[in-house]
Amino acid sequence: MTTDDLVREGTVNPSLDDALELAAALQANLNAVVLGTPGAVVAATTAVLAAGHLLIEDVPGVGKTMLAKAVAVSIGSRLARIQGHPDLLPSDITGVSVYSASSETWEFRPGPVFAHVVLFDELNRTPPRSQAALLEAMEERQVTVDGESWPLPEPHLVLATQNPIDQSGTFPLVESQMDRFLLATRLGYPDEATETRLALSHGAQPSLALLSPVCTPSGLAAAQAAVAEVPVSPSVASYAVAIVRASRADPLIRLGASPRAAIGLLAAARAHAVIRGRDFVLPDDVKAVSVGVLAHRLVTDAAPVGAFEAGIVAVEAILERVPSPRP
Amino acid sequence: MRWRSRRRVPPGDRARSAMASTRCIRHLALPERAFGPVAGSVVLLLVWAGVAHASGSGWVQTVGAAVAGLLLLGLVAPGFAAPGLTLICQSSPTDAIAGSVVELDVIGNRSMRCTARSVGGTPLLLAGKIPAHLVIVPPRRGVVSAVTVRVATAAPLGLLWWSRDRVLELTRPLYVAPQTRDQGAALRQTLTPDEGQGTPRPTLTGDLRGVRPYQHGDGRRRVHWGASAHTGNLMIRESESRQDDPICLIVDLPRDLDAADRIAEDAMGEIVMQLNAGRRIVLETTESTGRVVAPVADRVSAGRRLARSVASSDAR
Amino acid sequence: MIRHANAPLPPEHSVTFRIATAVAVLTGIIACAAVGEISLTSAAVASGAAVAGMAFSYLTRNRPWQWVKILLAVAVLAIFASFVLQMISAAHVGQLSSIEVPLTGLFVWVQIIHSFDVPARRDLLFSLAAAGALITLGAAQAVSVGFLAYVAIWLGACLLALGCSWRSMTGGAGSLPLGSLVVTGLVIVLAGAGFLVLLPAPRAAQAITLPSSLISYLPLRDPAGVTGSGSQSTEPAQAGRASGRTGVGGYLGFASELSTAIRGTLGDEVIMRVRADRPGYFLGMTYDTWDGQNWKRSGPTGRIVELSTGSPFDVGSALSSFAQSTGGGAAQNLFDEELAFGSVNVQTFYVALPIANLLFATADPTEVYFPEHSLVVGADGSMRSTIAMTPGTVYTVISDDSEIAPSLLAKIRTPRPSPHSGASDPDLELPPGRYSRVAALAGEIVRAARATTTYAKVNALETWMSTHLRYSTDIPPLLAGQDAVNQFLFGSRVGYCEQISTALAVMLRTLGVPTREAIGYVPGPFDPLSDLYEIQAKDAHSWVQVWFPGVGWQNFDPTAHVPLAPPDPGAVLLSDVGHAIVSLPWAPTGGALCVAAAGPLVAVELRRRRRRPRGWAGKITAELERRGAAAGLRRQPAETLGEYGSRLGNCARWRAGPTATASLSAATALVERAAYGSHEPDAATRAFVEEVVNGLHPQRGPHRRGSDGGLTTA
Repeated sequence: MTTDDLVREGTVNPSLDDALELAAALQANLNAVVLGTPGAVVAATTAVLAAGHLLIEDVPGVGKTMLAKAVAVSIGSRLARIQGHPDLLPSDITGVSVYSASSETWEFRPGPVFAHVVLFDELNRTPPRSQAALLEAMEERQVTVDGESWPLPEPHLVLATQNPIDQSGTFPLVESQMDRFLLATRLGYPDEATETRLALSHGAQPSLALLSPVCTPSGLAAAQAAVAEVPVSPSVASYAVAIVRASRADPLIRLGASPRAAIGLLAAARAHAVIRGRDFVLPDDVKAVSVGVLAHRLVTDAAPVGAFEAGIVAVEAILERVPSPRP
Repeated sequence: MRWRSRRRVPPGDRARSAMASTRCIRHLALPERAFGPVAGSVVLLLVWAGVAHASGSGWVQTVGAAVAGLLLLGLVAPGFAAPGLTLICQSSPTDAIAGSVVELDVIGNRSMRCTARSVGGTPLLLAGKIPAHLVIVPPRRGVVSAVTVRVATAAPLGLLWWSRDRVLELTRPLYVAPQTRDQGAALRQTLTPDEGQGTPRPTLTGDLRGVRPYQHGDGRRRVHWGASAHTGNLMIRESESRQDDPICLIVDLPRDLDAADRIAEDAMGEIVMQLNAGRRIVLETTESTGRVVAPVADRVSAGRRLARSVASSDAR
Repeated sequence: MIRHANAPLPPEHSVTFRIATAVAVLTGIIACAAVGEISLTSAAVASGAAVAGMAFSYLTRNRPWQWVKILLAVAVLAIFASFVLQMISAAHVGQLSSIEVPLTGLFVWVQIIHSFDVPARRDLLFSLAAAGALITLGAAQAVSVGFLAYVAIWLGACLLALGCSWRSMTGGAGSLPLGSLVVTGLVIVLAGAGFLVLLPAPRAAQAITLPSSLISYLPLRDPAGVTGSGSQSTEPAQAGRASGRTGVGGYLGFASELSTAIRGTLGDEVIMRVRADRPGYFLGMTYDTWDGQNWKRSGPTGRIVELSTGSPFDVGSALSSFAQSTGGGAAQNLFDEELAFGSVNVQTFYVALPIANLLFATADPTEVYFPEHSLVVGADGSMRSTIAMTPGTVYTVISDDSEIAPSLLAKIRTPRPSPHSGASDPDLELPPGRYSRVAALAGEIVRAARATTTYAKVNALETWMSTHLRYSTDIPPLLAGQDAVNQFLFGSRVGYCEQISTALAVMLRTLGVPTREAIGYVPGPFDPLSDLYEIQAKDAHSWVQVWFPGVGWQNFDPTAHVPLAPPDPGAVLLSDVGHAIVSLPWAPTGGALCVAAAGPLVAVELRRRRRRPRGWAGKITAELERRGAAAGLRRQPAETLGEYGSRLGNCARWRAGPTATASLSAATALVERAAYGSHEPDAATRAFVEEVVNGLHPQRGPHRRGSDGGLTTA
């Protein structure tokens, strides 16, 4: 498939070529704001292009919210923000039906989830009931209130941040909800020089204000569609499946990755290939996204504290073990 | 309602609109400046033949025959080597400006000299399979996906250069943005809005301008409770903005390449000026796939848009 | 870009280039020394100086010393002046040929001086061209096949130097493509052979000067006689025993008498090399008296004259004075107007082995270039030197060997008086009472052929001999007292040139035709490289000369077929190659050829079959893995191609150094693209990748396995 074949109807961002441009511009935007953590930037860009949801997990104060904000601004769409707290109700997320006196009917007032980009801060401070409300929205891309379904806008991207669960006052995310996130990433602490710069420049807020959108929501949707059509050769696909299956056979892992994980692995690999400027997927792409896609989905024997770290180690061990395809 | 500055350029004279001047690609390998080496060789061999016949020595003739073989091969062999020359672009930049230097990372299969032909450029000597930077100078705005390169070799003895053309596919399209031309006060005058001053777009910040019905996603803090009570519907406060209204710039290019370049340069100058002034710009252009209306955030994306744009009449 | 005309060129850093150029220059100098253009001492000094000059130029290439340039310019001027002086003195003497040695000296000196100032590529190329001039000067004097070695070395050095020059033209990086240079050399040799086939051979007649030289000076005691060979200064009465092989290169006929009782075969060692306009019978001497077993010379000693004019000797007038003294001179001019088509035949002889003191030439020599003050000329046209003919002696003879048309000879009907008008004619005398049977046979043959003229009689006898006699060098011995002719004609009927020619001479004498026995050489094989005939020992020959009144002595050879037209070097080269091919053993050669032809076909088919399931990318990956494993870097199972490629690229175990891996990442990216993308790689891409991968050669020597061979598991 050549670039020309990827040109489709439409007025904005018609081709994979535009997706390439978008990826580069988005990365540049995020790098301008999120300093010192290139891995997280790649993960965020991958999630945006693969139309997946992103979970950012780290201790407070390293710029999780900043990254999410930067993504939202860069995509040029409305940003709806939900601050997670123990009192958050499901209707605070999805919206409510209110009685209209003039029409004498119940009217649905959409909640903040009806935005292109939803930033869910401190997801694990939200009670499970509210987390479940988000679950349907993320997977079904629709909201059901009072028996009526309301479709969410396309593209729809949930960026959730959470503190590691050793912090007090948190509700661990249920396993099925973890599976809804395409990628999980962590930011880590910036190095000394970057931290000094951040401290001097009052954080990243000023640079956030300078950001300009790199595309429109419809442009992003076209780019996502183009990315989803990037061809994957059978050997690479079976490599991804082999990695997922290896996670189920691993004695250290209590619950391996689901078939959805394999789908997500390939979707993320496609996006990663586009970020690397290719219109085909290499085993290297699968390798590069495996930790991000799989680590948070695995349930290991390790204590809930540090489960994510245990997942990372397990996935890396799997990558060392599974033979990569020979051309 | 938008604050809009419309600048439509009429299509150029059809008769004058020359097609793109594509220089033909020479696949045939031909010698370059062959007269000197060939004449020199012939003179040398004649001298040799003269000496051989004057001395009557067969060995002089034998040495002469060997020299003749050497010269013949030195002159002709590059003609057989030239068709085998290949050049691959390893990486190429995405953006360039017309008339400025662009470096392509190229790698050849053997030693050669290569010069960009379809665009300007300087000759580059490639030693074996060692990567090097090929300098090209795209003369005009547009999207360059391949460059015709004249590759030449004098292998194996370096006596005569033979050359042919190769099409060097770039790894990604090169968007050649128009040069930025400042049109001075005249255009700035036309862009100074006076009729649109009174119709600012509603924004989230600034002085209160009015209210509007609730849309999903609106924050609760922005609900104008008084107006809601008055109308019976949820009403949201709207504020007035001053400078961040986008300017819509419509670029219609004629088919005549020079005229189109001039207009694109004008547009680029305008965009750069407005971006420097902190304004947002929505650019409307015609691409081969149709009309494109999208904001441009910086001069790079503006350059790409203008590089991609074609004459309005050429759109599908 | 503006470059000043006298701006220095960039210095040339390639040592290989300099060494190749130096080898070419040294080959030129040594070749000149080998053919005697310059002395061995000068050659040794010149070689040392040239090498030192090259080394000096290399060391000072970045900043050439200006005062050295001035010094060299002065030296060049001095050498030119010396050369001009030598030339003026040579012109004064009239020996234009003597400028050759100073010219070689000039070239060698200029070469040496120039070698001290060769900082840049162009200077080295000039040196290379000057080496070509030197080798040409050497070639002008070369006669032996051994010179081919110099030409080959010089050509190889030139090729290498030009290859280096091309490399430095393109930046000077990378390794030299030796394989393609070898192929280039083969093609050049083929093209050169083609030119040699197409070009006409240079002819000695077109020479400006006629070569003649002596290596040693060894005066003979009896210059009028014939010495056997070399330093034996006495004339042997009989130059060989009646049995056994002959001595080195010596045909034993070159003596005071020729015994037909001697048996044996001659070797194929090269006696002389001859450059001649036309090949012919190179006459050494003649015999006129036959006694039944031996040919002898007769006649008064007055039939020999010693010319003491110095070179060149006017042999023509001496011979014509002989003719006048015997009264045949007037008759000899009878057909002069009809002989006008005759032409000059210039022959230069290069003596390779010690031989008799005879100067060979085709019939009727007119002028002899021989660097001695005297020369002995016999009435029969034979010439003798007063010094020994040692190897290295060169002399040139100009003959007026007009070929008499058979039609003209056939016109001569009337018997004319023999050259010796007198009662006893040695050219007709026979031992009495022996040859009645021979006379009857000859008369019968002539009558049967209805031959009336001398020419017809000779032809009839030759025809009869060709059908009734057999040629062989292996013949029964001649017993003492037995008559050689009777034994041959009526006994064995097997003989070689001596028996055959003697039989013809005797038969003609019985018919009253004056004849004599001539001995000399026929041209040996023609060497297309040097355009010389190589006269070997076995090319010694004897034939019959028949007296035609009004024309003179004419050669008739009943034995051998002598080529009458000058050979074409190309044709000779082709026929030599053809003979070589024909002489190959067919069964093994054919089998080898079939295997050689079928092998690649089978290999191609196997490769095609193997490729079908795996694809190009798989094949090239396997090749990359093979080469990586050879360097001690095995691919880990979990390692992707890109990771493996970068690991290979980062290691420093490749023979070509960093250049080997400079484009490896590009190549692996292209392979990945071919393997996982839907892009079918085009031929150019494939060729590129294959070249990169095939260019990976691990360094020799033991690998330190595991040092960086394992996958890092950080």
